[in-house]
Amino acid sequence: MKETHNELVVARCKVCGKLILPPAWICPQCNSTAFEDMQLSKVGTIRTYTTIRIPPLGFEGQCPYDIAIIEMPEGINIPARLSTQGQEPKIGNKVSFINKEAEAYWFKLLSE
Amino acid sequence: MAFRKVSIIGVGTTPYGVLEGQSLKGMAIKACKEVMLDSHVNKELIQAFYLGNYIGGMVIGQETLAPLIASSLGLNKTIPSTRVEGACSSASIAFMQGYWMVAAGVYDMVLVAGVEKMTTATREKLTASLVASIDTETEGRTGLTFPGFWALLAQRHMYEYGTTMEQISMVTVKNHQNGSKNPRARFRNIITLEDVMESRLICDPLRIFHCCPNSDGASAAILCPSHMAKEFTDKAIEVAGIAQTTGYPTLSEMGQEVALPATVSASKQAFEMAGLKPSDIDVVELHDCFSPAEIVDSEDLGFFEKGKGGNALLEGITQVDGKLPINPSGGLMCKGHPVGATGLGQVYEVVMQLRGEHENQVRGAEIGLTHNAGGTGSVCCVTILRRWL
Repeated sequence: MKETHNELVVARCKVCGKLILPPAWICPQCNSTAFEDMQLSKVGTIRTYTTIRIPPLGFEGQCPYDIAIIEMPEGINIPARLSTQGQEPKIGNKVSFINKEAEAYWFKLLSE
Repeated sequence: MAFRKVSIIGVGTTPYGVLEGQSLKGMAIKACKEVMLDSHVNKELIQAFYLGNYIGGMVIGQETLAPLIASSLGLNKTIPSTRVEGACSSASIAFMQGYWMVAAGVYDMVLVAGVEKMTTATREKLTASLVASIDTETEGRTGLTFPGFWALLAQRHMYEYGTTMEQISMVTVKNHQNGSKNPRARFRNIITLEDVMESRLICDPLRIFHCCPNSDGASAAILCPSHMAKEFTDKAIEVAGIAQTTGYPTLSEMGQEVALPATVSASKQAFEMAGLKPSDIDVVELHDCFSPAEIVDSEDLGFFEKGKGGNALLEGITQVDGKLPINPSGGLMCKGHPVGATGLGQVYEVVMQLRGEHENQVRGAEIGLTHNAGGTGSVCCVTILRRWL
């Protein structure tokens, strides 16, 4: 798995096509161990979101911060950090991938 | 292979809450001694010991807990003592291990217990320990927490079904009313809808009163084949159905945010095994770790159609005098949630209901259900318990 920070890359099972958030070890759907990188489009949709105000260890300086589950058109949901730039997010809002930082996927709200 | 029927011949517990000066080991021993008194079982008769514990290693720095507790109790040195872990389901997993060992005829008398010490830990240590069951390779990278997980489900449930914050908050109000009558509950106070809805935001839309309190506590039970139960007690409660399932540990894999598939499948299996249906249940203790969880769980268990759990609550169906009382003990929300003990705490409360000895008694309760979920949807245990007729 090549490590790119500005591209949204997930693992795609070469046998059944299932998309998996890396790291992928074995396909839970068909048992294959053959994967390829798949680059996703950059724009997804918010399925749900929250603002974390009491952080776990290691996230203290970042609070409050927003987390969302992003639905990508290719058929995978991505847990992500959301940059809202002061706007109130809503379910169904479009968001755009920014980068992968400290192993987390970051998206930003697109203005309607 | 024909399995034997299994009964609970005794239960024991500490209260749940801030148990100052009581150690992890001390609490477990207290609950185990109480269960031996309650069941009239001499410790020489115990043939295996299963212990549920989740964060003792990280919080107290103590591992290998099962043999340590077995040794302090003076259990026979020839028997196995085993600790099991499945986050907040740990005690129910211990119960399930004991159940199948007795059902299969491997042992005739098994002691099961669960214990957790939480209130002496610093907030940082406690949060780090609890978060350790969120997948650190994926969702954990975002800084997700347990209240965060339930906030994500609550938002989507409100969006898809019109569930309201009033409905979600009424879970806390109802469970405090129930807990006020339970001497084992951490909180004994009644609170209002305004108290809940104006409390401090933790992770939108959830506030502090939508979150169950950390607690210390231990609970235990003794299991034996039903045909032997009468030798020890006339108050035995039979295990009619039991299931433990594996779910999707991340929302990304789950593909939706309104139901926990592990609960749906555990409930289905337990009901099939018992030959019963949701409308046969008289009393429920379910995993209300956060207020929206009670609404989601009550639907996933099959009591209400998906999306109707909030309305059912407002209609009073789940109150102690309603058609389907949920969490008459006060639930995790008010009784408290010593994570590795909770599953057996629920068994304790349901056994007392079915014996007709509960402080917040559901009239005429004959069949009860416990639901204990672990991690972010990773594990679920359901048991269906039945009074001997």
